[in-house]
Amino acid sequence: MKLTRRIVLASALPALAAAQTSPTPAAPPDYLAISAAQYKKNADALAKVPVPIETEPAFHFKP
Amino acid sequence: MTDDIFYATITELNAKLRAGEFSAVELTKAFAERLTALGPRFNALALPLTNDALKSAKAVDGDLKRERFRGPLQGIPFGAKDLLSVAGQITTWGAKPYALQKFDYTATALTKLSQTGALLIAKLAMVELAGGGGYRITGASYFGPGKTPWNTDYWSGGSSSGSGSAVAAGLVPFALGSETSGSILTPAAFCGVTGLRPTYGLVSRYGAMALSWTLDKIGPLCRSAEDCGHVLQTIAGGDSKDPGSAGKGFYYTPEYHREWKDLRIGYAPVDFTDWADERARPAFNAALEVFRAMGVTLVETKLPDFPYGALTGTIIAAEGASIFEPLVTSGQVDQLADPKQAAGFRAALQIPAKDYLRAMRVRTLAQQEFRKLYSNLDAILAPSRFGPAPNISDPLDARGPEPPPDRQPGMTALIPAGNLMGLPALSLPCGFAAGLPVAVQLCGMPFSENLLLSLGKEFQTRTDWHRKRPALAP
Repeated sequence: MKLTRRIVLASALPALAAAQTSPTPAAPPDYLAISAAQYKKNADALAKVPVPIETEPAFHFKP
Repeated sequence: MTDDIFYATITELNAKLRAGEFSAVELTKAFAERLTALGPRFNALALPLTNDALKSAKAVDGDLKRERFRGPLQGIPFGAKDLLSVAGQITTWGAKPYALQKFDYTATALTKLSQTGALLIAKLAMVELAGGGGYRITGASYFGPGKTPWNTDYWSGGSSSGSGSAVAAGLVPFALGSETSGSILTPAAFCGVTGLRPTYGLVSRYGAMALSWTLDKIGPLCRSAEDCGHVLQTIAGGDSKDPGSAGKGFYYTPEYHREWKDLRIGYAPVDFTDWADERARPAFNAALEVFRAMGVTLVETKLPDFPYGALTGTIIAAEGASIFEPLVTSGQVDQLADPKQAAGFRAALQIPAKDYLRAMRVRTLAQQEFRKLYSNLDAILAPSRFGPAPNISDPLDARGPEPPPDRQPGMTALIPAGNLMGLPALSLPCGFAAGLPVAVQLCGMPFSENLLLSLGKEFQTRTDWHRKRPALAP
């Protein structure tokens, strides 16, 4: 069989297509962003609690 | 010595020692050999201290011979979470960056135990840095994932992992653990042992790793509520070396409890019908019925409405990040087994002061509401954890299906809430679910340990869950 440009292209196409669609390795989760988002979420939840101006922080914590 | 010895309570062991059935040296040797042989199976052992313990045991035997009795802990071997320092010995805090760390002083709680003749035979494994930064895998430890002796495919709970599994497997009669938010109650529940989180400030934290100055507590994991009382009596007390010390002592007096019928115990029915893992509901409901049969008045109640998770999340993260700032800035934080923790510490260094202060002010408000809640209650009863231990391969941050939006929260936040308020809690084994132990907790007012322990002792007189032993393959 004579190897024409068309035959070479046709045989290479499936491999090219697979290479383009195969998934890239999953990136590890961005734990820094996840943690920062969680702290922000915590702050948002605490911001919803009304705090009277005279309330002092529980620094000298005694149960 | 038969296997029964390894599952005997402190009171039983001490009686046998005093009766001369065996010596403290023989008892120490037996437990130390068992711990060394079986401890690695559960990733429970951090550092054996057998030689020092045997030296002390010889002295105890001398005292016993001369009838110099020093109390129920005399001659009893025990283990301690590897966050407590022993002078001259390695203290890893469960984390690779501290694998060679040594202190030249001993934690106050351990000194007190030593003074009554208790024998420290080993440091026990723990979750790295007691879980600071927020861990998401059971393997977040220099020693590998803690495994419950009931089924080593499942987690022991953390962060006092080795303390829970070593007591459950009969490797030590009791152990010390610590809790910032759940680290005694969780391994106690998942390993089927009795755990006591004391009131904040009752037990000195001098010589213990700090994760959160305003939340950390040291407490015992034992075979029974009574044993917890004996250990607490020894380790409690004021300590000028601990700025958080309440300056109070504790004398265990189980015989002077109030009449059961005069006690009001709060609970949330939704915990037992909806929140609890279906497999655990029969055990939790049976426990509720035991308390009802005692004659206490069970009162439906609910926690004051505060974002407890956000509160503990902010306070522990901010205080922990300050404590471990050198670890983060040096880059050694990346040696931790769980990358989520390293990231958690890094991100926590960016928490604004206003957020931490707001959390501490909201904590003040929550504390005021808890005082009101307890003006009408003596204790709160709830599942310690709402189901059995997860598989060691399960991520700990996996979320289950969303609950219906109208479901009441019940006591699902009792662990963070109780810790924020500095309240004592006692975890009592109450049965099994899928072959794994489950437990209920009693959470009381500050310094109400005697009441909780009396209730626990009575519960354990009426049940035998605390006497169950895991089947250990030879």
